[in-house]
Amino acid sequence: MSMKRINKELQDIGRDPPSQCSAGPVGDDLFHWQASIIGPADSPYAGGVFFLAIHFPTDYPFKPPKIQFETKIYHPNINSNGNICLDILKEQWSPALTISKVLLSICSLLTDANPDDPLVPEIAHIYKNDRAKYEATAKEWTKKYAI
Amino acid sequence: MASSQDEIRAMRLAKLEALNKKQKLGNNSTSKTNSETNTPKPSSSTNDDANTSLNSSLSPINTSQNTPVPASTSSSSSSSLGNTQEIDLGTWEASEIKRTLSVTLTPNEESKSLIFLRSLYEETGSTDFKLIDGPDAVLTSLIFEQGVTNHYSSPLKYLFHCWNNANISKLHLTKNKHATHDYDVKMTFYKEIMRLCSGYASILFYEPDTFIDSPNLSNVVEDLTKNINRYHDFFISILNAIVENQIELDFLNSFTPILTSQIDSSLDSNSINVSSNGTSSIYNNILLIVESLIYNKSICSYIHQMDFFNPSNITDPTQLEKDTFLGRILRISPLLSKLSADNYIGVINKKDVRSINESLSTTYSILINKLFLIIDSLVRINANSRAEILSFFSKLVNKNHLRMSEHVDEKKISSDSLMLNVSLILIKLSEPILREGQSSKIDKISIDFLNYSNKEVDLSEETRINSTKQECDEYYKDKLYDRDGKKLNFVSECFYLMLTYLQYGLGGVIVSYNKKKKHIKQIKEQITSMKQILEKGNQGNALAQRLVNMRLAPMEAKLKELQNDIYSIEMFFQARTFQLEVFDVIVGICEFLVRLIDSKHAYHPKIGSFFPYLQIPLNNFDNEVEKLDDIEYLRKLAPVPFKYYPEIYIEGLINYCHFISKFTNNPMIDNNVKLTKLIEFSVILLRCPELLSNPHLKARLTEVLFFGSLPMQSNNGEINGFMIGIFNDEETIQKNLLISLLDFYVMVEKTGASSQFYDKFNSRYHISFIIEKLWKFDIFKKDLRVIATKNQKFFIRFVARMLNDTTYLLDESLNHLHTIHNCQKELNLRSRGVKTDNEESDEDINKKLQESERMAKSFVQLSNKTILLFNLFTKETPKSFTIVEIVDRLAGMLNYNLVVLVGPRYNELKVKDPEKYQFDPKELLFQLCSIFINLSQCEEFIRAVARDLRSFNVDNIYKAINILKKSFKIPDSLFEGQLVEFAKKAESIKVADEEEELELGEAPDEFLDPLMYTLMKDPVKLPTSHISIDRSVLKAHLMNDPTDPFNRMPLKMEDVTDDDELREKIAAWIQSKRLQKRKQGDNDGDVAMS
Repeated sequence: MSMKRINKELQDIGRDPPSQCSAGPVGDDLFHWQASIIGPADSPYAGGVFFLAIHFPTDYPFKPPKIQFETKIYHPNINSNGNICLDILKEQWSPALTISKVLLSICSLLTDANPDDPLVPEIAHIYKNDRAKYEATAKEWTKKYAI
Repeated sequence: MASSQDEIRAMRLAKLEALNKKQKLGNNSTSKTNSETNTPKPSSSTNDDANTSLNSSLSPINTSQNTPVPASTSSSSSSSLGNTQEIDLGTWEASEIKRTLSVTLTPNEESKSLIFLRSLYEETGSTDFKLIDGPDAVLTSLIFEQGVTNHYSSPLKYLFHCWNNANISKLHLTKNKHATHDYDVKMTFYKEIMRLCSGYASILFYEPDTFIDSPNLSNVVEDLTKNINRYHDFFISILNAIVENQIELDFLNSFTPILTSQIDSSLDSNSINVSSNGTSSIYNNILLIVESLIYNKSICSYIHQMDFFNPSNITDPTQLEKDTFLGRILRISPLLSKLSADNYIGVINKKDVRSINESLSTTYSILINKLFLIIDSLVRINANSRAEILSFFSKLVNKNHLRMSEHVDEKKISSDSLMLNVSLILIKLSEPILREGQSSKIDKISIDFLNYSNKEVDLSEETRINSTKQECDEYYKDKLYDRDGKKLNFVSECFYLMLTYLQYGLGGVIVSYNKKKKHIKQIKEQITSMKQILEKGNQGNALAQRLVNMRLAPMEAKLKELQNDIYSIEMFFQARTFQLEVFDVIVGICEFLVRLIDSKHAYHPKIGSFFPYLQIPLNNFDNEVEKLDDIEYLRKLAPVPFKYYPEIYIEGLINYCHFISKFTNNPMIDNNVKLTKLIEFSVILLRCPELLSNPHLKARLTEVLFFGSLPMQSNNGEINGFMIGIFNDEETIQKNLLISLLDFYVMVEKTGASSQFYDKFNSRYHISFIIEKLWKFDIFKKDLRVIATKNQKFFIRFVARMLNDTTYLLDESLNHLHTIHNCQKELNLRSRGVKTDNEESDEDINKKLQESERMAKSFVQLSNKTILLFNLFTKETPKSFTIVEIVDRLAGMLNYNLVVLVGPRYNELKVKDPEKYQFDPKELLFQLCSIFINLSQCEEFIRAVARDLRSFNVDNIYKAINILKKSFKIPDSLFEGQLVEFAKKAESIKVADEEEELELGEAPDEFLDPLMYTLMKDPVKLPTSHISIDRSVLKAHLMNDPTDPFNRMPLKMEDVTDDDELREKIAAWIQSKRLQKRKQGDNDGDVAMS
């Protein structure tokens, strides 16, 4: 059932790609995509390219896609396995959302982290109390893993 | 010098005088004592008595002791009369004084065992006891003028010595009554000595300074405590003297603080045991002394008035424990760390612990009985005492709410030991209230408990069972009784206090147990990593190793301490006799709560079942299932006053059952009459959504039923879980169980906790497990069919949740297995020195592997259970699974997983030791195929399978058949035949669909469903976003989320309108396309023909 929907999203993303992002299937598996996000200029991730794996469950779009960072990133809402803590990927999901919109949300999460709902409490703590240290580490990681 | 000595002497005599007066006063009021012993204190009247007797013995008739004393008579004058009889008696008395009191008036006779009465000798100049004023004169002189400490370590020892001599002589005399001349005189003489000794001893405990030896009271009490077994009878008579002298309260105030202060310092493993050599411990001796106090009714009635019984200035939980009478007495049990540290010294294995615990539980049981008897006596002695006890226990529990907290400084709460002891005592006190049958007092427990404003138990901060705090306050605002008015009866006070302790007392022990377990795990991990540092030896960091060496020993000591605490708590929970007692009360609470729920609050002392007098469900939601999600609505329906009761009153009960049901010898096993009631109560709570709003409690309750469904090991192999029989046999349980479980399966979706997404899987696992076990009984299959047909709306909700779970869990399981596969492969390559392009470090890969292993273990287990449930249910009610809301998603999920298991990607799931994760791909494949077969008779399902463009491929079904054949998983030829037939049907539909699609070509965007991009068949318009969407898609969406997908406004199916215009347009377009195609086909045909 979701075949047509995913095809449509693929067409749309090809026709009108969101800024700083790209996405498409890995090989011939239409339900397993790879996406990339260019680190936002006003963030410590600037200059980096971050890869993400996208998996569409069989009940997509009634249920959210599963998205993980494949590139290591230092961020309060993204853990070492690449899992992302983002409301629209969980209880705030709506079938009217698309991969394109989700990627944009992830971009803005990179610019503005949400330290009050952290996935990595230690990073959130530093983010809140020592922003300079957070930015330095994030930059360092970006340089190390994403460039 | 002499004059000052005289002064002191005068002072002492004056004090004594004062005492005398007091005692005489007391004497007059105590009528029960006979005149022989009623003379309070050594005084001239005593002598009179003795003389009376001596005189009376002259006459043949035994005159009463009340015979007036001739004024002139005195011992000295009588001896001068020269009467032989009299002389004999006088001489007898003189020698008996000398012997029983171990004294002499002859200076050179003084020895270790004979005290020379210097003062008396100097005063009278006589060496003849006949010239002395009887035994009292001797004692007064010794105690107040001369002192006994040269011969005896304390006056108590001396007085006891004399008392004992007199007592022995008295007994001897009684034996030889008929052979004795002047029996009565002699008897009176001994009794008098005993009375004098206890009288003086009583002064010792309360005004020791009046004694010239000025004994230290602490030492006296210590001596008494150590040797109470010897002193016992003497102590009893001292207590009688205290009562006669009416100095109970003064005595208690000075005596008991010193007595109980000895407990703490004397604690060791023998404290509650009678040790092997027969000597009993200080604590046991103290209990014996307290028991003596309690058995003396008069003293007992004063105990609650003692200063340190319930001091109003003490409110700190540790002070309440250590600085009050009850706290000190009641805090001792094997759970006290100080004792558990000693009890398990040298323990090597579980067997050691078991045997220690077996004997400990017996000892503990005896101890609790003793403590209970003490409290029970204090409760029964009078109303004020009862009130003080309840007040103290209330205060103690009020100050201990923090015991339920995960993170609390243990120094800020009372010990498990004290709180458990009080809980058990209250449970014992409640037992007669809750006893089954006609003698039960359940109907005496007040239902209007919350109306009392003078309750001692503080419930102000408690969450209510099904109401907000504000609603509750509002409801009771003008219903509270006057603070000084009506008082709760004792039955109610005791019952509700016990309920409170079930949570904060006994329940707190469970919290403590779990905390300690967690702590142990942490420490063990730390110790392991510390030892690893040490193992590195010379290659390691020397500084780190020094640090470790310093920290290791205290760490290991702490581990030991925690482990001992755990053993001691397990000792209690494993002791079936204790647990049977607790469980009896638990069932009694269930009875009461059912009475509270029942609209008439009637109590039916019926043995066996709550039904049929309580009909469930209380309200029927069959036609308005969406109301089940409406918390406000349910609250309105909740019965009063049940809904306003503190939630802890149910929580304590559920937590206990939850904890105890994990023990192999728990009190529910082989206790079916009681267990039936608990299960009935559980089913009532689960079946009636308006009763209990807290999903966590329901989850725990479900887990209790799960534990009861777990198969057990017996000598004859595996047998049914201990609740299974009751589930099937008891009609009302059987009728309501399945639907209750299905309802909670749905409701647990939202627990409100941040972990709700994962919480639900656990509960659903438990529910699936129970249902699997029920499936051996056909009656439950029939129940399911009835629910699915009669209660469709309800059942669809369930099916949708089950489908979500199955999809998610299978997906996660297979993903994690995939990750495990990749990690294992990578590590394997690296170990063989093969270079790969993976840049991750070994450590990162290992971390990832461990994480995925952990996740796979849990997800595979969960998905196995869900898929099994799917199989069972699709077999019974296939039609419920092929409705438009879910059929496409179901088909998509099954197809996809089939591909994963038989397609090329299967190789990516191959992991080492799949059993470790309970991953059995062939069994999973079999389950999937069974579900296909179960649904293969439904046309809608076949269509949905066929139109799933993502994964459907008929070859996969054939591959599956081959794999199952090879592994002997095909049960019969019918199975294969049905699958093949199904595959063929689906394939032909797929071909037809493809042809039609080709026929129609690409449709205009406006005809496509905005979510699925499929051609709409039955478009409907959304009321707020005004977007048109296909009805089937919307139905499927609303199953998950009752909102408009485009603007998140609340939405129900009834709110949408048919978009007739669009539907007609689409229909017209289709028709025109078909017409076009046919024409084209005709043309093609023409061409071909030509």
